[in-house]
Amino acid sequence: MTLLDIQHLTKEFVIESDWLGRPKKILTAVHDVSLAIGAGETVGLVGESGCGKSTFARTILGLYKKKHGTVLYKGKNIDHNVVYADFKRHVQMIFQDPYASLDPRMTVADSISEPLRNYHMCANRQDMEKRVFELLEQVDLNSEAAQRYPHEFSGGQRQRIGIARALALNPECIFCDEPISALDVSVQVQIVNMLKELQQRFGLAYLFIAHDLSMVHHVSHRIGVMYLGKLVELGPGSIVYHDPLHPYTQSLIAAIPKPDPHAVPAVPTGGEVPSPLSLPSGCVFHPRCPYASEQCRHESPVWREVRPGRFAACHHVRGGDAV
Amino acid sequence: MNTHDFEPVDPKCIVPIRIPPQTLRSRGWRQMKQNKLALLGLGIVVIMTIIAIFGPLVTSYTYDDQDFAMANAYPSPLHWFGTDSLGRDLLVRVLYGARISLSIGLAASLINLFIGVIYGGIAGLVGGRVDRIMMHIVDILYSIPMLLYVILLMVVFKPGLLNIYIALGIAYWLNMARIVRGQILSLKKQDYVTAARSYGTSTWHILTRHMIPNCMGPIIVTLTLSIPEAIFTEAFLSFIGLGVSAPMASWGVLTSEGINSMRSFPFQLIFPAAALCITMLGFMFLGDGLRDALDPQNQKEGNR
Amino acid sequence: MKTVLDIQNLSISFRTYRGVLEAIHHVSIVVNKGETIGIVGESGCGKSVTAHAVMKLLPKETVIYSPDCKIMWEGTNIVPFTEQEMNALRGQDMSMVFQDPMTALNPVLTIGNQICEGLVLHRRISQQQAKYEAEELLRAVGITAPEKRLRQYPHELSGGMRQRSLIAMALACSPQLLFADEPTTALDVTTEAQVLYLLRSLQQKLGMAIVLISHNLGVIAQMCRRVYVMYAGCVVESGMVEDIFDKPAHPYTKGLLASLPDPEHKDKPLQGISGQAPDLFHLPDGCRFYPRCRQTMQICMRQAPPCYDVGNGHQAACWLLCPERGNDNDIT
Repeated sequence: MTLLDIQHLTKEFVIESDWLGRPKKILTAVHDVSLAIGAGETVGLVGESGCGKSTFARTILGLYKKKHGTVLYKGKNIDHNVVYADFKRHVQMIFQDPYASLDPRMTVADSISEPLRNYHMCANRQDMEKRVFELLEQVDLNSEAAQRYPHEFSGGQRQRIGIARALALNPECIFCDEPISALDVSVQVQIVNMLKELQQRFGLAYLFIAHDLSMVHHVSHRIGVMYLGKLVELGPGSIVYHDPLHPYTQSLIAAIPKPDPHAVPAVPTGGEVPSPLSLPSGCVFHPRCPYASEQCRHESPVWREVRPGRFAACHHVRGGDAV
Repeated sequence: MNTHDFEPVDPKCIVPIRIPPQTLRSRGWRQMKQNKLALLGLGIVVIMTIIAIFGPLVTSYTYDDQDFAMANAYPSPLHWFGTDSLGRDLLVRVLYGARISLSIGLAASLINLFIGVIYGGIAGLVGGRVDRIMMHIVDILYSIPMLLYVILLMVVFKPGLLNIYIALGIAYWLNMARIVRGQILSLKKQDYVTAARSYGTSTWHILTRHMIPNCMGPIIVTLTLSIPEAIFTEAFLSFIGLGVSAPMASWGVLTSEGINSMRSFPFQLIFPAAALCITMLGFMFLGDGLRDALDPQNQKEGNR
Repeated sequence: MKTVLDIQNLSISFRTYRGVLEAIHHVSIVVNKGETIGIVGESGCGKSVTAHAVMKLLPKETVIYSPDCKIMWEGTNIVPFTEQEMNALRGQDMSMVFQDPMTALNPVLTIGNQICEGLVLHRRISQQQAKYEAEELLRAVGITAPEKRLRQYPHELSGGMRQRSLIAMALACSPQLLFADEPTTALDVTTEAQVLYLLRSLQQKLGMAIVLISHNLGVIAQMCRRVYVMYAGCVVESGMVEDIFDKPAHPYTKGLLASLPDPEHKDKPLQGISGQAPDLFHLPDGCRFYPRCRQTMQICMRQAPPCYDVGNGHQAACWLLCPERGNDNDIT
């Protein structure tokens, strides 16, 4: 069952406006991105800084106002208030920085029970306490943690508290915005394993946003790759990783430093990610693409299903002739 | 070493090291204790407050008891601070002055707290055009000197303590509003605020539950440092005759009277001036110490 | 092989408001001319502190060097060096590239100013000459249009270019040893690949030694010849990079390697390491790693293990390697 169907989502930020308030410089952070998340499925979203993956997640949740596009939750448009209320409750988010995602002046119990209080989910204080202990136990934390403050915990433990808080409302989908980037490698594994276990237990769907493609590959059923606000490739996880269609995905995979001292490092892709304010014409990747042609310079490629279940936006898929 | 040493240990039997909980308050308090000047400041403030409240109740004179026979008397066991030109006991007058000054300080802090924090908080949180308008109002009010308010108020009302309270009410929360707004603007970007929005916390609750408690450091410090400013303002205004006037005994009035007899009876100037300076210094040391102790940088520590 | 840096038994403590904190404990590291060594470990293991301690960049009011330690720079012990003597070394003989290029560069000075500062100070050349050399340096680190970049400020450059400028600054006086403290952690993966490629080619050209500090095992595997693994302030394992990755001896190293996702076996759950890094104020008795180790023995809880030799310069500090343990040397 498709839980979330995001269609043609676009988000712009006004960087500069003239004295009358009319926009002069616009940053298109997310441009025409369409993605579907099924129940119980993990969709990974990768891309480098400035590609818009974080903005994409926050726009869906309503933290930013979208410019264009539709979001369907269980088939219904969330622009309607009733659907939106339901959507907001069942789609939660966990954040990158474990030090900033918890209010330093609130105890762990207060932080976790805040969503419960907002939605009046517990009849009295005992119920609330019981629920908080239950949530802490689900993330492998001692109930003693409830009365402590965030600064007494390590990064990994704070991230677990954030996850406990996200689970408070019994969500169906959790957006994970770089949940492990700020953590040590051994702690990353603990969190990833826990997220997978919670998915099994509660049938959760995840939108897993990260820049570490190898971890995303490990966690996701499907992977989407973003570059400068556009989705350039989408497909089943292993296939995208082992047989990427889009040249940018290929360069991403080649650039990952492999933990194998016998492997010969590949020659890196040249150039740098251009500023999102001055997007290149045509295909946004063409200045750095080894297969760029005249067509790529002038025409923006169309997002299409190249093979069943595999989407890409490229004129010359995989360097060969256009399919 | 024997073979027993190399026997494997069941991982479940390994007891994790328990670290005692460390509240934010204990950490800040520990730092304060190390700062001797801050403790001195705290001591001065506490002592002054006690003296101001209970002092005049214990002395045998009141502030306007005149005794011409004892006019301009030097400090003696009868009059610890001596008397002024009208024979009034200087100690009592200084104590009453303390009452006035500290009540001004209290009023200033309450005004700061309620009006300044809430105004700045709303401006910062709502942002956009509302923020711009609110801050322009602050700018306009800020650019008019306090003296002008007091003089204008003197035209409307009779000169007195009430004028000073009203002038403070107009001007004293402006700095706090700016500071709180600045803090709120930077806190708005924190993930825990975004998280609170994502699970349905209302804007008002975000302000009161999350943001303002996290600004308490700068708020307390600004508060503590604005008190000596208020005290001095009142003293100054009374000194130049725009505030409290004789026979009421504000430190400003006493200093003004003391200036006249500075060469002949210096103690009449020294005691009220010293009282004013010590009180102000006390609040400043306390404020500095609080700022160091409540510095959020210290609270970023923790295990990684 | 000539040894440029020989750290012997270094322990560093800091005076904090909670008491004295020992950040690194009996660390010994050897760096030879022209080689790249890696120091790998997670946060709090002390890898950054080690590098800063060698260059004496730690805050003087709070740092305490252990009395019996030696830091031999080309045969001379630099622990007793004064600030003046260290200034002559820093930038000239040894320099550092930092993690975050945005904070490591002064935002109010142009790139040119910042590079020339070191050049003028150490090489005693004129400003004009320094500007010319700075331009050459920027070209050498792969920055296009270097004359233009010299006049630009840090915020006008991208992350990759800033890091390259930092590298240019560090290499201005052709040092013998470069400390690279997590040089690519703040960069995107494609930029990271470029910067690592740059470091490798510069090293070959200049023949300098690099101490690469990172928590990323992939970066270490690609760049280093020898590796030191640190945990909670101690070196727990050291050796040639192939030995560390193919035949890890210490359970912590094994755990780190088991934390890496295996692209060939996606569905196999990752083992990783349980628990979390210890609070350095409340360290366990005995081996610092035992609370998280899957192979803890009785002696591990009482006594810290000495370093045992596994062959070919490969060493690890673990009781599992003790020869008195008998034939049960099957470390799985």
